[in-house]
Amino acid sequence: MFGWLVRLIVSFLDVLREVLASVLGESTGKIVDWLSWKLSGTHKIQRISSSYKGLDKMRRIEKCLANSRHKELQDFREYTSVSELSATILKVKNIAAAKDPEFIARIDTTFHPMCEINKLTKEATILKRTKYDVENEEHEMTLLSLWNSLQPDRELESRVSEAWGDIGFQGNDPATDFRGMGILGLQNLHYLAKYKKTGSKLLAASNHPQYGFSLAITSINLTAVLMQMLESGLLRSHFYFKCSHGGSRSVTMNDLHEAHCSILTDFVKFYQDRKPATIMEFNTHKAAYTETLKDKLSSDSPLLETVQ
Amino acid sequence: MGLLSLLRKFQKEADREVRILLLGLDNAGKTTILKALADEDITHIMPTQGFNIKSVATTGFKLNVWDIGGQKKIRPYWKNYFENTDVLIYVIDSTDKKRFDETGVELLELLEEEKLSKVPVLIYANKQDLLKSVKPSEIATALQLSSAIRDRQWQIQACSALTKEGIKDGMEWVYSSLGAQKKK
Repeated sequence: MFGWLVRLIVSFLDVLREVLASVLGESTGKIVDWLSWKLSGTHKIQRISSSYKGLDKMRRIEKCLANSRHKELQDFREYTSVSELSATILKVKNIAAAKDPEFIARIDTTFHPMCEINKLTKEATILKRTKYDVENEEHEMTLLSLWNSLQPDRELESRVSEAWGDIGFQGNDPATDFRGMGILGLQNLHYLAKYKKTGSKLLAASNHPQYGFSLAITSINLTAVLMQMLESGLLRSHFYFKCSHGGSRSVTMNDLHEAHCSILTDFVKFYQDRKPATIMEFNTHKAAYTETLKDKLSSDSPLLETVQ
Repeated sequence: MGLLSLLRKFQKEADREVRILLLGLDNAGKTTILKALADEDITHIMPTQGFNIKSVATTGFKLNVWDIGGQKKIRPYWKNYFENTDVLIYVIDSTDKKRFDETGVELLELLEEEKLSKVPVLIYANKQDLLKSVKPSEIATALQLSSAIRDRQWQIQACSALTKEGIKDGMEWVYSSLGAQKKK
């Protein structure tokens, strides 16, 4: 009969917890969490799950898991199977079906996007570490397809050629430019060139007499920025938002390629708007752009716009 | 000279700022060497558009190392960074035989620059960890370094930015060349 009062007190404690944790530190926050749990019999993760929606919910859940004293929960980004993650949460938190049927019913839906993002992060990391290999036919075919997509009316006369400079590689053999981001750098650039109208627009923009830049290596540099956002966790907000607002169920490698197209386009506009005196200012503007991107991804509208 | 100014002079000497210019063709390994000098992660190095700069404090020196992109389009900007250079570090990819001529020509042009005259040159023959790398002595012969470099101190040093082997030896030479400069 005092259920409503307990709920009221606990929701007050949840707010108080955030304030105390930020002022006195996480350990004070944990004492309040313990108190809430004793009072209500529910864990914080259950309360977040029933009180919040969409991106807000996922951000709170991630924070809650990251702050957990259980290693299995701290490592939530390692899980790629939703049934495994759900089972771990129920086991570690000792949540019985009878106590919170609603939470159990929702658990797979709630944690599905999280596991999708985890899976994508793992796949992307593997691609990043896969070195470009001139002996690998698939790599070479993708590279040639990149050329044909960006230069449809011009045949590449030889595999090693100065012509690569025209689409923004550094030297005569693009293979060396992929060193930092591996095959992921090639795949991101290839996706842009082959499937996006923006690809040829960016190539035209890269030839601007004063505010020009080298498209291919700029793309590779932005792939590095993208991976930095994915690894730090900031890019997860973009995917959560996409799942909750766009209704998409899966997060795939194409979504990562799309995100790359988006930030590359965004960066080029940012760079050219700043009217750099010469290309030597590139890294200064890249650093400034990275900061604005971080702000965007931390904001309440972290969705990166899809480009055509 | 008062004690205070003597101390000040001493301190100034101790924290001597040194400007080091890292040049070479694209993919030679300049940024990897820069990061190795600063003890940073070298696993995911991007092609450099523009330049990178890092300050590294060592005993007696504060090194300001400028790493300028090596692609052809950027080379015309190299000259903007010549002023007040204390040491030039020129990086060569020891496995890229096809471009020994190109890198030799670029180095020769640098040596003729007035703003770089008498500036000591350290040449890092990089990527020595790879099987197909050419020995520094052979590179020196191929590029005819001993006849090309006159009126300045120079050294060619085998190294691998990846394993860091030889990097330290090269820097020891840089310090000694700075000491010699000071005496003049």
